[in-house]
Amino acid sequence: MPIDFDQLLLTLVDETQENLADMDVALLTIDPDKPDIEKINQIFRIAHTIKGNSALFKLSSLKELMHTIETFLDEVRKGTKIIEKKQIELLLKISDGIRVILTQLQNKKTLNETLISDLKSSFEKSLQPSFETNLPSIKQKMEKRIQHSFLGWHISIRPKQNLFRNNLDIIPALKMLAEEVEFQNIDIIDRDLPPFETFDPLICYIGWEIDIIGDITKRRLLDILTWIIDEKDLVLTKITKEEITSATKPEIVAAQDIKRETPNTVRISTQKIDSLMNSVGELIIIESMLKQAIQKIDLKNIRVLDEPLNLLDSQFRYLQETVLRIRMVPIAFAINRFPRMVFEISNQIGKQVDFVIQGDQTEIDKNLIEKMTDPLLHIIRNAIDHGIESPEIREKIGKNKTGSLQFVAYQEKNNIIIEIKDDGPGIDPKKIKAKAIEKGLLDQNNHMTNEELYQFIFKPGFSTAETVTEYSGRGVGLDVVEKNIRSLGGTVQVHSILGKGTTFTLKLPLTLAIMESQLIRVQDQTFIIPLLNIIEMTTASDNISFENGKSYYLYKDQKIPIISLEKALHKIDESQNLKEKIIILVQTNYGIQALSCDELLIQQSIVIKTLEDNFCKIPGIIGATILGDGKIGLILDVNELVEIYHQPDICPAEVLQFFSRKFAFPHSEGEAKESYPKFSSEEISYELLCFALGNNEYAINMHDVQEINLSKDATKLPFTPPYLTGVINLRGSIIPVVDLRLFFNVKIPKSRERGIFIITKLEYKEKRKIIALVVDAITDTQSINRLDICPIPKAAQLLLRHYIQGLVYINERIITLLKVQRLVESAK
Amino acid sequence: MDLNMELEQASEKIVIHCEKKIDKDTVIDQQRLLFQALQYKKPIIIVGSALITLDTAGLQLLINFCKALTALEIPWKWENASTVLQEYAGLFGAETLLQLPKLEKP
Repeated sequence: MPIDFDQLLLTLVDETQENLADMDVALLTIDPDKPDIEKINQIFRIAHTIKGNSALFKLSSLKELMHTIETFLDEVRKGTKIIEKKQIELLLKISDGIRVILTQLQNKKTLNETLISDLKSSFEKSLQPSFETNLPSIKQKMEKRIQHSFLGWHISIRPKQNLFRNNLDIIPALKMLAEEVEFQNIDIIDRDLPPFETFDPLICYIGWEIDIIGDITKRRLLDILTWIIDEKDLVLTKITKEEITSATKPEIVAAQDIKRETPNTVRISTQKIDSLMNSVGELIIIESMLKQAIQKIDLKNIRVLDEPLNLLDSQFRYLQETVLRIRMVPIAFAINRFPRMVFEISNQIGKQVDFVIQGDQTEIDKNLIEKMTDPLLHIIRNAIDHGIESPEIREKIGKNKTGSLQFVAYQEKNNIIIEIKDDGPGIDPKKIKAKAIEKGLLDQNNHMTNEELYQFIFKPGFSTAETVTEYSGRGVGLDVVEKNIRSLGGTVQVHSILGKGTTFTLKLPLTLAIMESQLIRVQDQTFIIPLLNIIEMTTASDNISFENGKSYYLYKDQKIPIISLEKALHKIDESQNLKEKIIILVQTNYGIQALSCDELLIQQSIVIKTLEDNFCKIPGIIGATILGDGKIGLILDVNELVEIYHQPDICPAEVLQFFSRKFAFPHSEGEAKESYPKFSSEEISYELLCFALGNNEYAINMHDVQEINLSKDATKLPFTPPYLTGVINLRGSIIPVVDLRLFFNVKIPKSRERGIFIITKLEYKEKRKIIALVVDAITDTQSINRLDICPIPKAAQLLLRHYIQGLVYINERIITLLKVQRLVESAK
Repeated sequence: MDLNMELEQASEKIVIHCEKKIDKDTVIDQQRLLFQALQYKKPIIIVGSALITLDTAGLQLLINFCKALTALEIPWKWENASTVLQEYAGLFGAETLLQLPKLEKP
């Protein structure tokens, strides 16, 4: 079976990353004066594994570096060399260097071999024998240290009789063991061998008794031996010098009683999981479609469907939970390099920080982990830099010289709560208020609670830091942090006590894939609000007031500003009939806000689909879902809606960049030169799909066409140009729809208003996007040679000539050949 | 691969030449031949110079054969044991059972 090297590389990269994280933790906790042999062994094994893997991928410089490290660590554990702080620091740097190489490998980029060879030279330099005069005393220390401790193992092996018939052989396992430790004594146990004439040579009758000397853990022994021998066929007995000298009976630890530290996990590619999740999502949609269809049926015995539907429902929930579990990983994966980072930053800025992690086994969706690592890192950097005082100041004010930084994670219902707490000076709300007034963000007479004031630190450019360091202080970090957390459907709150410390509390959904939500109707469109954000839902009735052109909802003696979703999303002013609306009170980063809509629909779990697979981010929208009727519901980002509500109606730059309309006149010099169509040298013949736009005929390369569909109503997107009529559901994928008639300003005939969809596959920023183009009708398919394509006449006044590849003349028809890829090229 | 057997008439010895491989694929046939050699009740010389592949099944076969020779009080010795045979015997504790000379450790 051929080896899939890409898959192997992926697996090895993942494995190496985990090993490097373990190595970092071990390095950070080694005391050079009293090195823990277990940790040295652990780092030795990691170096050995990386050496083996680098040989597999012909990374000779990395292999040599690992060999140098292995040799050094072997000397350390034998007591012939010591490990110093400089080697520990270099090993940490080497760990970083390997990560760089792994990223380059994964992205198929040119490897920076110089980086590795430089690190190797630095490491070898650090091993100069200046300290070897200390060897005798070090060796004595080492010998003394192991005098009263563990020496080795006695191993009893009694393999099963069917060992040979199972195509197993013990000799390779014993050879591997002999490479790692010294066999002090080895005896073959042959007492069970029957007489030669009657013995079956394919039955295993022999065993072994082995004494090994060496620092090897139970786990390592089992790793080596149990790939051939069953654990139940092994007995491991510790040998210690103390026990031997005192002649007490050594402790016998049967292999089956030893708890294996390595969990029984399997690596699953996230692609497979995503496919599985898509299937689960489709099943949920089908279920709700079934429910809707049944509601329309008028049968006498309709209640018989209750039970199967209930069973279907519980099965789906079970399947949903099971699949989610596969994707859940401990948050430790995101934060395993944080101790290292805290160590380095605090060293570099001369602070002492005690970093404690609690709840690192709290599980969270793997996709969420990848996206939240950076925001968490930034908050921690900020805390060390500005949240914790220097040791001198701390001592002066009666605090412990070492500051405390805690990372606490726990699950609360369907959310993960992360608290990052420091015991620094806290945030002065007066300074925040003064800065906010200075920046024009706050009126002097405006009264806000401290929690509301702290939210200003997430504004772009807002920083009360007296000094700017390389880590923080410019006010460009926390706003990005807040934006990132929000894009994940989460919130971030700050609580601080002056003189005592600050706590950042992040609340995130456990998974990005499925969300508990409230469906609402705004005009004729269904939108979704995450239940996570909702405080209360009520009718507006008489609790509305108007002041200075703004409307407010009275809630517990507070005037809450109302955001009209009709106005925000459909640009309709509804202030006249606001009292008939439904009010939804939501918690945002700007405090409680009131959203008004036309109707409350059901609450349900929804499968979140991103718009960015085939389009780009839309302001105020987190993503979308496919509803029971097959239509698309847009999921609202309540925080972003608050921000953009009062902004003028502009189309976001990202959307315009995606579908850029480039205008050019033929009489400009540059255009004249470009009037000849350009071809790739490989394209000799074309298959064309011809279609009508108004009175003219156009064509696109069949290569860019995925399929042709009857058109259907698209779900309108806010903040998009008119030619982008919305998004549709194409077999579970959400794809944008561009009406080429509107794009090219072609009059749409009434009889062909709906048009036909040509589903195209285009490349945008190195990713494949599926986009639906609306045309009047499909006319023809044609095969042509590239020589058949004529340039556009120079005199032709075509505003959108940028998209035209040339003209083709077939049977007295003039067909304009479009370069449809140019629809999505970013505007320069 | 079968073992070759040679009967030296002059000195009334049996000479057994081991071929390259003694492992689970060959042990059944080899056991039959070795058993035949035992029936002669004559001194046996085992030539092991060609042996390069030996697994646990092969090691077990040789150990049981040597035990049988000792039990039947048939004089026997090894001649030119291959490096692999000597190394394995030393590493896996079979030197005494096979009566191979001890390898000097490097």
